Amino acid sequence: MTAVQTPPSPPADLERLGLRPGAAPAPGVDPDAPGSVRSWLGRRAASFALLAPVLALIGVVQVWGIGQFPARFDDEGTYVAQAWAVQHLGQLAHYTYWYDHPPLGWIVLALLGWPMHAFDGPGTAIAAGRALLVPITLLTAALLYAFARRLGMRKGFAALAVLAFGLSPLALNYHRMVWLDNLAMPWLIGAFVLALTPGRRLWAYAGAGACFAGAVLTKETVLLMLPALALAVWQSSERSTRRFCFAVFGATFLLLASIYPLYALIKGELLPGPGHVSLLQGVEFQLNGRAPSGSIFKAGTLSNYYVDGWLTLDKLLLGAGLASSVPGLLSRRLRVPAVAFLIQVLMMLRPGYLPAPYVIAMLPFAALLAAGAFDAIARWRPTWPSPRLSLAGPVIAAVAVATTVVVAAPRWAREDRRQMTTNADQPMQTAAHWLVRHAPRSSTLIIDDTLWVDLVRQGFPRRNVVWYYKLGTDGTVDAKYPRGWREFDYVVSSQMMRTDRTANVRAALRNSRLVAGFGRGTSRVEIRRIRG
Amino acid sequence: MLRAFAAGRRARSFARVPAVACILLLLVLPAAPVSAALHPMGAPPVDGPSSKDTRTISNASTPELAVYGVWAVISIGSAGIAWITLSWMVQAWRTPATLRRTRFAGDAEPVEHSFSLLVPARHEEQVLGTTLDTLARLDHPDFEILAIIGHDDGATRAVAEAAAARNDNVRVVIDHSWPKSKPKGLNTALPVCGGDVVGVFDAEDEVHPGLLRRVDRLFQTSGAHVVQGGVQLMNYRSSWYSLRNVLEYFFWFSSRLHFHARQRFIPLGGNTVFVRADVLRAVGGWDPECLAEDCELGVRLSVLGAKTEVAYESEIVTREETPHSIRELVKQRTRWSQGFLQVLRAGHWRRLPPRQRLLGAYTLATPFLQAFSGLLIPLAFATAFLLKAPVVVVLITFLPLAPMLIILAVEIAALGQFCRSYGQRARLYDYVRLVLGFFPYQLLLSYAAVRAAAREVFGVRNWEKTAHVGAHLESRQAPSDTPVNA
Repeated sequence: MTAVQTPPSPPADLERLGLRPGAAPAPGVDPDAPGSVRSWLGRRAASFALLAPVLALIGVVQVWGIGQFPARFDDEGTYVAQAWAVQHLGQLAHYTYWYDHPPLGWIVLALLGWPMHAFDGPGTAIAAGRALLVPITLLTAALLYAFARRLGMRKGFAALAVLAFGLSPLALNYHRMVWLDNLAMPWLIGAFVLALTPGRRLWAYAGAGACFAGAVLTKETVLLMLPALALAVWQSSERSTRRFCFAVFGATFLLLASIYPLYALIKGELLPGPGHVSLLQGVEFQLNGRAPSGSIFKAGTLSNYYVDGWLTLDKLLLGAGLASSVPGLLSRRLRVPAVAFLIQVLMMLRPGYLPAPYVIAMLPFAALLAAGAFDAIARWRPTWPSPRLSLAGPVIAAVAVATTVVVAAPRWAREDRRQMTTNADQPMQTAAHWLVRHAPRSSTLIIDDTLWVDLVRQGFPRRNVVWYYKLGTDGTVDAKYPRGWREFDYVVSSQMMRTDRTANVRAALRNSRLVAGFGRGTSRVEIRRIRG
Repeated sequence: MLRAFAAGRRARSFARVPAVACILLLLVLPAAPVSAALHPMGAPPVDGPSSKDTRTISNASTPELAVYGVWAVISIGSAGIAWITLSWMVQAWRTPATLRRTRFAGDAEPVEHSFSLLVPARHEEQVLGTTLDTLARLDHPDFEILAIIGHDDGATRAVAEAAAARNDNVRVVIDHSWPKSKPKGLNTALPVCGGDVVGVFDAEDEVHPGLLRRVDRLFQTSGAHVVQGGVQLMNYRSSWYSLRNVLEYFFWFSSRLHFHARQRFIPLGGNTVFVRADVLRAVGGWDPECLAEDCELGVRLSVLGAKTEVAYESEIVTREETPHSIRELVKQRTRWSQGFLQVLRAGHWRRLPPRQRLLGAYTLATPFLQAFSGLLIPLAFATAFLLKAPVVVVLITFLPLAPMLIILAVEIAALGQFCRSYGQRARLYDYVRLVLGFFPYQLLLSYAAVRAAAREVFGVRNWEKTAHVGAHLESRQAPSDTPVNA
């Protein structure tokens, strides 16, 4: 068994032919390879110089007093507790994970908090979670700048979009809270940035698909944005390679997104069955199981309440976004954000369930559309009836920007200042302190999820501290407490609990006496001893 | 699928059994894991709604851990191979500018080179006459055609001599070597070549009249030693495997070879390949004993630092046919795989600089790596599910699926692109066949690779010639569905 015989050894005139035996040259230069990091940074020096102070300002405004305003919201407690469970229990949730939302958001939160033991430090766990979201907002803001630039907006207007996105009191209020939507935004905006690759790079489209999968695995509602993203891929790709761009974009997205159902499949929890949760039930609940929030135009509905709340915080950003969105459809440059924004507006008009943080995904697109409209006006160069009018565009834009700033700046500054300095979380914080000081560690408590991690961290066994929502919905909890509310020592009544009023909560509140109360009005928190 | 089988070609009838077996296997393989997953890990615990998965890494025994480890390594390795395959197969479409650069540089005016076109033919009297006539009419002022015929092949010789009588730029070279092989025939003709560039074509090739001027121009502008033109199988509707075979060529010539040319390590193709005659003589021509003489020449030239230009334009490609039966396809693949193995063993690639050496070893070993992963992935899937491995291990065994599904998506895109480039319309049926054929085709290639390795080990190195019936010519010339030799 010998190797193939080599042909006779070549004569010595190889070098004359341009061949060099034994010293093959280095591979040819790849003209399509990406440039070096240094040259990439160098070309963007001006952008970084512009962006750095903007991001610093946004960061300071967001982090200042972040643990005290707004008052903690139930869902924040859930996500923080789930991130805590990922860190400490190696599980996706502190109770049975029931596919209510895909888990990437709080996995990322857990990973971000890991190096500094974020949830174990002083201060409340929710404040720690909120602090972890500051870099997430800054990342979104930086990506938003890149998005604006790739839409062809000039640097100043791109920075304007970022400022509006970061400083609008409406945005600030929601950015300060632990919402999955906030965690989904860098993925989503990153997907748009990659989909608008100026070099039309195939792998950028794959990256866009991957980022979009990340967004959907963080917050499933982002899936609504798919038509806008597909439009971005279509717009930026060239006919000759478009099929391949869509192929890698679509395949990468589907593949990564399918990890979620695959996980459920492997655990035997894809389809409903007796004795276990399932992905399909989770989806079914989100689509059909939730009570509709009513029309946004009808007073007294939940939808109307949310929208009213948004507009009370700030009318300007959403208003400017809405005003620019329809004309934006006509401009090739602004069509992608206009479609993304209008899809969400249309979904809001539908009378189904409207989640409170729904507005978060509208904010970056509203900011882009508003700044994009100014940019478009500034580019307007009319030559008729007189060529002297060619300055009309820049002049009108300058006046419009100046007016907006004059109108917005004082209001935004006042409202932002209020958010930075108000302590709306006081009742909950004092209630937690009271429990830590007065309740025996062996007591059993029915609580709002926003207290869960704080109490468990203070030494209450986690099986004894029960989120009210799980009584009657989680089989593991019901198995431990077959007699429901009767088996508990305390119930901590909060605004969320009083609104939700599950059967156990109602009974516990009725059959208990007040031992300590904090705050007044809707934010009142009461610690009540149950007469079992 | 029925229509493909009912087309009624005698030549294909014996191909049915393996094809059907492959499709059945394809249907059974995914069914096993899914059914295992739908009835998971025994009865659910009674105390709560969580279906607790009792299998975890931490409670596995040592032999179980070892099995999991092997699975993980195989899966990660296969995933890596598939990623590399994917990234190389889409090279040409990385950006629109990249795609433009894969084309020829235009026509030569004025021409600077003279060409000797070698056409080795063996028992190919059916197709050779037409091919020689077409070649003789190529648009270039200075070229000759040498038909290389074995001394024992009277019928082909008669056809070639008739063509030589019709066309004054066609000559017949008789090859007396024994046993016969393509490289020996080529070496026989090399000393009598008069042109300063030697080109090789196969007897069934359909060559574009403008090819030589483009090649001439590319030699002028690039200073290359070698120009490799595009070769494209055309008959994608003949059978389920022909579709995949066609796409393989599409990816190889329109994308992957450009990557190899840039990296300065290229396994050349068997035809539409042009080498400067002085270079070819200086390296002693083709390796007479190698089953993949084209690849071998490419590797030897790469070691010498030769510069190769690859160009693919759908209008200019040399059109060919797929093997007309699975048996022929397997024979052809066995020959190529064994040829690659021979080149790997010959070890010229070891003299390359480190980076290209790695590329060389990997490229030459590719048929075997693919065979290996093609066989082991389904096995890993099935066992991971049937033995109820921990979720993490099962997820890892799914890793290779990721690049494979992207490859499938890219293939779907490529089928659309291919059909558009060649003025066809891809039908839904074609896409269905493309998807369903993925694993069966992989199994065929794996089988051929294993067969090649076995032949090499047992020293069987004879030349299994692929028969040609001219199926690619039908689409343009014969409107009927009748093969040329039917």
